[in-house]
Amino acid sequence: MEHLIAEMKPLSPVLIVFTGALAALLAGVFSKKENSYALPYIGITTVAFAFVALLNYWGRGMIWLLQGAIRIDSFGLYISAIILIACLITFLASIGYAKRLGFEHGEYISLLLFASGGMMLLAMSADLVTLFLSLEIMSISIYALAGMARHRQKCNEAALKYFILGAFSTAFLLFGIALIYGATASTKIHAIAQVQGLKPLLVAGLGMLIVGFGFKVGAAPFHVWVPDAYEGAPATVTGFMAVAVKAAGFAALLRVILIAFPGTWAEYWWPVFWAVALLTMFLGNIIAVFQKNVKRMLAYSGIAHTGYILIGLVSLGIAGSEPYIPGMKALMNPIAGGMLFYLLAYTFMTLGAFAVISLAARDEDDLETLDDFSGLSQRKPVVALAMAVFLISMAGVPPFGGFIAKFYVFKGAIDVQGMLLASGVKEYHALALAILGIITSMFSVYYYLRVVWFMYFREPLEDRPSVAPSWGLHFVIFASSVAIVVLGILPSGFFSVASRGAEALVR
Amino acid sequence: MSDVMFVALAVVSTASALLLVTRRNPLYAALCMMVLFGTTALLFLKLSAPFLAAMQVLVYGGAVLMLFLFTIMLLNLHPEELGSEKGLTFKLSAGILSAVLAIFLIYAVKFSRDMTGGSFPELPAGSAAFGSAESVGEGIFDAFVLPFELVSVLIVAAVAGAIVLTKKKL
Repeated sequence: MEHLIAEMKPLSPVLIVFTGALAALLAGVFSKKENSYALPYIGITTVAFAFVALLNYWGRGMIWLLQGAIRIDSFGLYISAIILIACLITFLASIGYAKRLGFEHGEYISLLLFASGGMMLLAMSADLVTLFLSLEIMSISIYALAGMARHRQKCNEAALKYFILGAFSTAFLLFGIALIYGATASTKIHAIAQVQGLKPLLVAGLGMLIVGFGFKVGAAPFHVWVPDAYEGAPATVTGFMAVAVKAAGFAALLRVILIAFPGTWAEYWWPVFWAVALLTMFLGNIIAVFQKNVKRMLAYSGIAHTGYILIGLVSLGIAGSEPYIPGMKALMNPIAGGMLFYLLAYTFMTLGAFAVISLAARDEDDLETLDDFSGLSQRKPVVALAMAVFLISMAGVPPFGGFIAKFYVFKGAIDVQGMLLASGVKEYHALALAILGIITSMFSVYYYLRVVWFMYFREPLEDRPSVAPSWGLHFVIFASSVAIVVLGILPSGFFSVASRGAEALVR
Repeated sequence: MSDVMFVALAVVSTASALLLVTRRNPLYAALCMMVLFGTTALLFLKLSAPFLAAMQVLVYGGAVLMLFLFTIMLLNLHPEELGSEKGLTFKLSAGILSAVLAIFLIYAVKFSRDMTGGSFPELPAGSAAFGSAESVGEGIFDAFVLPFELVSVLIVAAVAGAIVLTKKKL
């Protein structure tokens, strides 16, 4: 027993988060209604403690736990940090907003913490059993969170749709895990890589896993739940869903694909991801153009961003499948680092944008349609400026973080292409994907700037009664826009941290 | 002898699964499901996994099916309340998709067997006690202690979520 406790110590960030979740649950039950404003602070404190515990393990190398069920490494810690940042921003943004929408319960805080703990474990799982269970902890909590504003019909619809489609995708994932276990007699991600030769059963399992993870990260053609769920859920929850679920989903995807199916296995999976990335970028960006609802537009833009991040995975696959080309291996770490940097930049842009949507909310509804944004610059000039920063950054315009993130991803693909051509391989898949990615980003400029245009060049429709925003929301919007600018102007430090995070997957 | 039994069980379970998704009356579908769970449990028993077989009967045949039946009886829908029949294109595409998936999986299993020389990898706990309650218990409290604890976290989160979504007054 004692040695078990000692062994669990490196897991303390996750354990702190789960403890905080239970504390918030109990506090919600035993506190009086008028004291419920204090509940988000329980969450904030928990996240702060967990973050300190997390930093404690950064740079200590790999730690294997519980017979290889968990591997605490730089990659897991990096993703966990993103998740904790997203969780903290969500708590801050919820101050006041949750009360206005009538879900200032202990359960709200508790479920957010449960989801974050599950995501952190997901990023650290080295065993498919642990991976599946942490994925479920995350998903179940998020399903409930999506339906938090119970009196809104849209919100109920979002939760139900997300639940049913999510359960469907989980079945694929579980089936894939079962097939992989059947082929290799192991659920350990690192042991699966030891199996020699191609096994059709393993390929079938890999395909099912790709479907399951594709749902979670919102890649086309598994993206149908995204717009409805994002539109219906309360703005703070949507921001959390968009950022943290995507980060955790990508963490699991990258770890399973890159560690269990490395090297020449990549020949089997990179064409799949090539097609998925292409479809995701085009569908996301083109459908976003036609959206009148800003939350829905951001949902499609989130799908498009998934496509851009997948470009990195395709580049890694192409690089990995040609290991004999000298210098190819050295390219892989910067590519993976670029993907991780993208996730960080995406965190701040998206959470900031959803914070603006919830800040500018009216009493009953969120500020959602384009018309609601008319003349925001006259009513709330600073907020409008911050929103413009977030949107322009998402479009990938310098000097913001979103530009640098896209730059790293596209540069990775072009580097791989250059290396291929230099060694005489005349295949242009990587280049094609990079060029198509740049073209689709051009589309995106239109729909992002349209919101900016509404904010700055339209008169306000009527006097909308605006609510007094909380300090938390102001702080979130301020801090996120500063972070986006810093990521855009001084990216090298963050990029080197991201590359160190990627070292655990590809050296 | 054992092959005959396997084929019989496989045919019955596949047929009941097909009937389960094609019946229009939910009560009949639930009964087909019961047959499906029972035959699956027998298949587990034949694969010398008695614990799994018992769980299949207790959890699926007992608890899950009971929930379905209760819901069906509580709603007590008339045939005309069940909604319109799905179109032919929907049925056809669903059938084709399932058939493709089935053929794909059969091929995957068959080719994997051919390539590994007729045998699948030995499972780690290849002892005589494999699949018994003892070995499952040992697994839960030894190799899989963390997943076991995670299940309890999952259940707490699920309960909190269910309460917050359904309780009339919070």
